[in-house]
Amino acid sequence: MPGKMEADYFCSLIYIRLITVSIVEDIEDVRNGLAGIIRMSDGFTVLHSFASAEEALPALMESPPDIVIMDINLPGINGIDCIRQARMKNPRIQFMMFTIYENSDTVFEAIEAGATGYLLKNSSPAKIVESLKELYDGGSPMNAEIAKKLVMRFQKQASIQNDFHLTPKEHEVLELMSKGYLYKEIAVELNNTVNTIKQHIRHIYEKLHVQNKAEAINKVFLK
Amino acid sequence: MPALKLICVAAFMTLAGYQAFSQDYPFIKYTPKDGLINNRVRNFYQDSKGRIFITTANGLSVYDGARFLNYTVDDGLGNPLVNDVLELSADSLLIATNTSVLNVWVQGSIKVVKTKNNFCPVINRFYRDKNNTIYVASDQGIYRFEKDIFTPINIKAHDGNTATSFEEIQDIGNYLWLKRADLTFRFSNLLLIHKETFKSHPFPLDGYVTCALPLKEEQLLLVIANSQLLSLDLKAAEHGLVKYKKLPSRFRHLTKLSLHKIIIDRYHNIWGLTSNSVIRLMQDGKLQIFDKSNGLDVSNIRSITIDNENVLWILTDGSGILKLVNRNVEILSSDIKAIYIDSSGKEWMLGTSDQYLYCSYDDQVQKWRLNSDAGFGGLAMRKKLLLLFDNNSIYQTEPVQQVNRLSVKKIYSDNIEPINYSRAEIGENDNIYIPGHSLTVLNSENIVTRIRLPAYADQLSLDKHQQLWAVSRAGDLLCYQINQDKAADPLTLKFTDKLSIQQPRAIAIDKTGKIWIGTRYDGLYCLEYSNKRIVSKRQWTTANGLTDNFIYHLICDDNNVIWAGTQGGLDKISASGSVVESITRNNNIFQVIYKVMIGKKNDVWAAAIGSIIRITNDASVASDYQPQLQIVRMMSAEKSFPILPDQAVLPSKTRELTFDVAAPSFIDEKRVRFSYMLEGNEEGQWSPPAPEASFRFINLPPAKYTLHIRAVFPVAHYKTQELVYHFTILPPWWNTWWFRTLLIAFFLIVIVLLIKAYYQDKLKKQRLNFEKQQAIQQERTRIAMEMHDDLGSGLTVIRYLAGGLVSNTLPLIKEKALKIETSAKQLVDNMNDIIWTIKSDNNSLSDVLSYIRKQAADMLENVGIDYEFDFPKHPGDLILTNEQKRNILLISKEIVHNVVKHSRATKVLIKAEQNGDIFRLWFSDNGKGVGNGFSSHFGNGMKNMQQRATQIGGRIEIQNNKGTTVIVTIRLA
Repeated sequence: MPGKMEADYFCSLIYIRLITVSIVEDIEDVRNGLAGIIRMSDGFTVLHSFASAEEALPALMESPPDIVIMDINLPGINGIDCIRQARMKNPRIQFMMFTIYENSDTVFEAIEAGATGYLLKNSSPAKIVESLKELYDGGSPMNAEIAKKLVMRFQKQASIQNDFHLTPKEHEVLELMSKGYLYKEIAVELNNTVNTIKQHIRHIYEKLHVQNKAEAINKVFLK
Repeated sequence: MPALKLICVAAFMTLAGYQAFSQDYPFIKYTPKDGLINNRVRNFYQDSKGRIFITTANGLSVYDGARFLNYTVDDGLGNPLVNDVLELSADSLLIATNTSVLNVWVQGSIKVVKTKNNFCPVINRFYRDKNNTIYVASDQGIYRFEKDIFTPINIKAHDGNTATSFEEIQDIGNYLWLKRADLTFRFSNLLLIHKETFKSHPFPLDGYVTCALPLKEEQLLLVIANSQLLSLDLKAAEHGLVKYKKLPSRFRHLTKLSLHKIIIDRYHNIWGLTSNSVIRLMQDGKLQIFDKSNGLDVSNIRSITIDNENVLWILTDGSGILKLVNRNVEILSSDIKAIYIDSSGKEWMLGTSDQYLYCSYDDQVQKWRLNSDAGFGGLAMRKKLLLLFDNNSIYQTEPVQQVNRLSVKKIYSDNIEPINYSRAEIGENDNIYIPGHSLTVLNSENIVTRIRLPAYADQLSLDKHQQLWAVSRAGDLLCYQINQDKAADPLTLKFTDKLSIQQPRAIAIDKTGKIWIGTRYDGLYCLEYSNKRIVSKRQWTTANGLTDNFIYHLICDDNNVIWAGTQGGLDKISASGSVVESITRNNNIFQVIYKVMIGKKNDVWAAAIGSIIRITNDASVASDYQPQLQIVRMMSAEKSFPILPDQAVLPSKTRELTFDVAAPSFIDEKRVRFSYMLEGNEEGQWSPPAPEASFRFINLPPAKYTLHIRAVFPVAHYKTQELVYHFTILPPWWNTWWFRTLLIAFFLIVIVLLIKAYYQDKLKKQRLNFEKQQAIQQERTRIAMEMHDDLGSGLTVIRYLAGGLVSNTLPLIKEKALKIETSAKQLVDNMNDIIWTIKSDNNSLSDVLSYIRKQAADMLENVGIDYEFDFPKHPGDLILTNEQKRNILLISKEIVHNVVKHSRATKVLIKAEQNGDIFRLWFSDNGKGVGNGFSSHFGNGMKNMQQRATQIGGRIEIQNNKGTTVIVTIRLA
């Protein structure tokens, strides 16, 4: 596979560890275009690129990348199921949804399934790279709509079990996010840096994932 | 039969010349002309309400004083021949007609009594015993009537035959007397049966008994065959023996009269009837006879009755009924010119046409021929010498003796003024006092003294204190002391007063010293003096019951009653003044009474022009009856309503109502006056009293009414009666409270239902519309999403393909590839915007604001323009339509685009504000401002923005203020 070879190549050249990225995208031109963009960016290497989830899953388990860019509308197993399955086996992999429309319900579903970020297909190459870096650094992208859904989700959760995992700060971030505040504005409001805010968001995602996992385990046990 | 008035028949026969004094009783006759149903009257019954029921050969008349209510077969009577009437209770009377039907009169209408076994005998007479059991004497025998059934009582007659037909049943002590109708004259028709056992006693009496009357000492007075009068020993009769006792002496006067009936009235007077006369047997055996000679000009007298008011009713078969109100009032013949009653009570009378003088005393009349040619007009008595007057002279007769002739000599002539002889007074000292312009005094020696008076005096009055009173027409009251001893100076003026009374004409001093003054125009006054000052003054006029306000003469009788002779008749005023009674009017007499005298036994004699009226002081005439005011009928549009005791409820369509009222008093029923006051919605007013006994009310609206009725009687001791009756005219059903309530409730329900239906319909439409909209929306979203996904993928591919060419070294290709890439990105962005606006879960203002924020931030960040948002922290939950959303987003995007493209600004402030439904957005940059470069700054974009703003009811302003400020104002909702 060409992807694997290239990664090896980068690893040998650069001191710092390259961020390994896998791409799952069914359209070949896009897949290649995206791979090209990432490959040309400093500090990144494309570990794999797959046209389907079926193809991707075993490979991802075998040699997990840092980040998987995952298209949602895949033939066969869709992106969300793929994330879910992969996360079950290896929770350390960061999944980044690759989507045309950031407000679609599927984005939230994917986040629930375990994705920690999303990437608009329309983003400029620079933005793509920036998003990847951010994700790798522990930040997560979020928008008002996702925040709203998350708030609802956590409220629902809170009413079921008292154990509320969000810290007050995270809670505040989520509230402001849901009201449409930008990172910059939230940072000013909460007297923090944008990065901190992003990390808060990542934590929120992770807590969501832990909860989801607990639920899933409960479901298994109950069966 | 000749009679003065009360004449001992024997004495009467010895007299001659009596014809001069014919006399009349004021009988009043009722015939069909007056409303009576038929002239052939059979019986008379007065019910507890005072009405009289007159049964006739052709129907029934009920007379209440105001009207005759007549009933015939057409009104429900079983037979025209009405035999008897019996009251069951007030307003309910049994009526027996000559057929096998029993009628009942209930509140003015005739009904038929249904007996249980459908049997009813032909009833001739009702009888009710003291236990209130009703018996009937009928053509079929005697029956007891109880509980709507006739039970026969078997009675064996003394001849052994079963008596079957009875026409009379009467109470006689322990017995009932039955008059059989099924026998010939050969046997007695009298049947005595015991009241308790109904056993008959064998009673072999011969002759046909026309009438029987129980007397005391167990005697039964029998009238046998219209002639014989016998007194039957009842004790002996009980043992089957016929024994007669000696007829009590007072009845002997009746023996020679062919009486067919003897009646004892409620005052225990005994009356005998012949076919054309009515004879009253007085306690002392004297007879008072009413016949053709004194006003009773009828034949076929059937019966008489004394009613509650002591009025005598005479029933005739063929001449209707007659009534005599005051049997003590007589009109003596018009042949008497003058009358004088001397101190011993002798009545001296002067004939009209001849020179005869009559004297009546102790029912004896004596007559003398006056030996003079003078035309005497008046007479008086002095020292047993008769004084006679003409206009100029006074004459004196020789002492009256039992001779036929009396000689007369003149003792005084007056050449100055005519002698007012009818007003001459004879004093105790035999002085003659004559009023006029002067007061002329003629003493016993015939010495004349004339005292000039201030004005003409009409009457003098002597009191018990030897004083002579006079009143002049100018109102001078004069009181003279009579000097007994001074013949030359017979009177001394003791007291004089000027009265404020106009035209006095008469004066009398009563026993208590009160002065009564009669006037020409103002009726009667009573003055009371104390220390020569008037301490009380009362007045009576026609309004108080006087027959006329012109008083001719006044006198006070032994009982201190004042009698007033007026232009209209004779009035009696009790000394207290509370009772004023018109004696003459009550007796249908209307005459000028110019002089009143008091005779023996306090009889009153009133001199009218051409006749004399005598009122005997007869205590038996009095009664303590009080008439009952009653409502007889209540009618509306010919329909009669029952008079319920409490109150009547009348149907709503009643608009007009007539009340017939009555207060049965037959003394002078035409002068009973009624007035009424109707209180309904408005206060009523008493109507002026009028004889009309029928009140008609028209245009009565539905309401509760109270009718007050008042009756005023012409009889002084009858109190004014008042009656209150309540009635209600119901409102029409559509005007009643329950109907109105129902109607309101109905309309409320209908309105509620309509509103509910309307809103349900609206809701349904809205829901359907909403569902439809939603379906459209969903479909639209689905299409959009699908297109978006497809196009988006395609465009992404294009972008990436173009992106691959960007690194191409050929500048042309690089440039085109860049353009393709940018266009594709632009397209995807625009599509994202569209999708965002279509999605239904982004409808709130807060969603729109956050989208604007993100969009602007993205655009501005890309070009490095600093930005700041001033958005409300808690935007309302206002919901925006898709159109509003889309246009606001596009406008905002266009403005930010312009800022990025043209403003050269380094900083932008975007401010949002919501105030009610007004939403405002400010975009303030610090760029070059619009200025001249307006078109370049905005260009066609501006036009589009304005159009979009207008579409959603908003506007856009652009200000130049150290940069450009665009203000978007939109009215949401």
